[in-house]
Amino acid sequence: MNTVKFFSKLLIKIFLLIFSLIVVGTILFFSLSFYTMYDHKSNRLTPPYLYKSIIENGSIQFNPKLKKDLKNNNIWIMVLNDSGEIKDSLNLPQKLQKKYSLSDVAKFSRWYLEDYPVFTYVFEDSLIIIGYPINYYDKFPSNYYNFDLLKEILTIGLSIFLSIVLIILIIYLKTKSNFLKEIKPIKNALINLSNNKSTSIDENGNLSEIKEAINHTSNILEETKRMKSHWIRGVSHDLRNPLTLIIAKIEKLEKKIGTNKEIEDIKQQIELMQEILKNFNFSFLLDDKDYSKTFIPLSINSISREIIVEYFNSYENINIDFNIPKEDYFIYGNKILIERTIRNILNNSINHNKNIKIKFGIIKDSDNIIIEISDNGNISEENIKLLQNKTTNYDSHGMGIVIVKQIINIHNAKVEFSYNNPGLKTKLIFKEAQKNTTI
Amino acid sequence: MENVNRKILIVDDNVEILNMVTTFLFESGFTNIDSAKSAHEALDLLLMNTYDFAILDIMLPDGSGFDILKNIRKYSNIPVLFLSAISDIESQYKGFEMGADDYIVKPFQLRDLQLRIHSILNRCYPQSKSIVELENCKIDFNKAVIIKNDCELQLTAKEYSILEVLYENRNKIITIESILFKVWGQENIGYDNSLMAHIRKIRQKIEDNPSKPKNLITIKGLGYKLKVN
Repeated sequence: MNTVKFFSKLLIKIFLLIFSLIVVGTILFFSLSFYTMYDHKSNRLTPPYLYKSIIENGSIQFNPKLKKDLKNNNIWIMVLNDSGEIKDSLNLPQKLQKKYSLSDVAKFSRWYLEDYPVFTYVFEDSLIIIGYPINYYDKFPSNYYNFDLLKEILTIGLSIFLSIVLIILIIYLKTKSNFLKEIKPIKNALINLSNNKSTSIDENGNLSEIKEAINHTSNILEETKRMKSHWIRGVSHDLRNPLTLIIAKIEKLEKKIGTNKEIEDIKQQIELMQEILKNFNFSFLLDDKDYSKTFIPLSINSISREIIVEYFNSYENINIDFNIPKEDYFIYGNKILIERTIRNILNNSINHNKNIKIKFGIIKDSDNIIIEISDNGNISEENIKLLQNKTTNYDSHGMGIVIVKQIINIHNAKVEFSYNNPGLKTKLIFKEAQKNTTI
Repeated sequence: MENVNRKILIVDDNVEILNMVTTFLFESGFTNIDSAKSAHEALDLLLMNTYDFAILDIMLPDGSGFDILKNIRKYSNIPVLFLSAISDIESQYKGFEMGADDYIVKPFQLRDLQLRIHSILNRCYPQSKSIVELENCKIDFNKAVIIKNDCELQLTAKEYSILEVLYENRNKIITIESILFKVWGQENIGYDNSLMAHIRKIRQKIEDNPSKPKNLITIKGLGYKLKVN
């Protein structure tokens, strides 16, 4: 999962968590509230329950259990007739022992009787009043509602809720955007560093210590590259002049005294050193620069022909059996690097084998262009496996192959080594480019 | 003027290499050679003399071969060959872009250097080819004719150009692409058949049996070769 997706998901999780907590909290609140209310309603001392107990058998009766419960809870009952006179009572406080007028009944039915919360029920021609201790119950100031008003209030509530949700969403998107803005340059800088490229990001703003560290790392990388380049160029330069002089002196010696085995050996060693130097420097340069910017469409047929002609012109008795199709095949690449690759492979065959026979072919396989170079040399299968895995080399014989791999890598192509029974078969596999003018 | 009499300037900060190359060129027949150990010395010599060819080392203590080339190109198109102690594609590109003719990387064989110098001088100061002997005929480049059985067969302009390119690469294979580029220039696409037709006509003039050529042979899949004695 990439960085941006990771942090986006994290933000979503946080917001969803907050939202879930709110929702769960709300549900819990209402559930517990309703449960508490229900639990209370199931209480035997609530007005409806007591009323049912009183008229249980079809007349007003106070059973012993009821009397006991009422007495224990200081609840009283009063039964009035039509005229407002007390017909019956239970635990009635002294101050309430009187006659009640119509207006008294109207008042206490809605509110309280001498601060006692009371509940009024009509049974036949009697009025049953159940009274509770002061502050046991409180009555709502209003026992009516306007449905339209209620609807309006609910609408307001819902609108506020949705607005909050919308605000949370906006905050989430803004936070994500700000976060991405901060993280994107850091991510790009790290990718550049991992690709061995220098980078520089603005250290202002948030996460400044991370940005500083990245810039510092980039500077160290550049400095290391500079020193490495300086060292390699210096060493390379310092070796080449003496080597040039040695070659000249050997040639002069050869002219003077004629050739002999020792001179031939020296010349061979010099050639070896030349090859090492060439490949060593080249290998470094391949790592150091971004050659992909120099890529253009190249006719692989044309390049192959030129190289083969070069070898026929340079080596008198060379045996190259070539098959270059009439139709031009194109790949994207750097001409000098591609030529170097092919030459390195051919040189490998020629230098390590006497009287070698080389086969050179170009084929197209779906959208791949394949260059196949094989010889009948004496390389072992084991060494071929080593070649396939070779990425570094301190032996001159293998350096050319390391460079081939570097060049192939730069071109996003593939190289495969296999046993030709006998000999080595090398396949260079490139993606075909669109046909264009050749170089 | 013979190419070995051309005035040559060699610049290299390594005295031993400078002496070695100078000595070698003298021994190869070149008679007129000046040498310099630094950019400053080279520029002084360039002020006082006119040279036909320059061999320049790139890395000098007080500048570079590129600086000297820049100076040369202000007033002259003389051929320049770079000697380099660094195998660097970028430097090669830079050298060629600035107008260098060739580039040789140290360490080099003196023979290689000699061949390149001759090649460049022949290209830039082509010697009159006079008469070239092939099997059973002669090419007179000055008159643009083929002399066969005491008869003169006129060469067309394109036939002449093609023969010239083949002669420059005599006894070596030259690819069809190279011939097309050198004769028809950069816009040479589509002239393959034209080349084949011209080759056919040339063979009719220079071969005893055009279907079994002995002078101008086809190297199948690659190009052509002009065999010169």
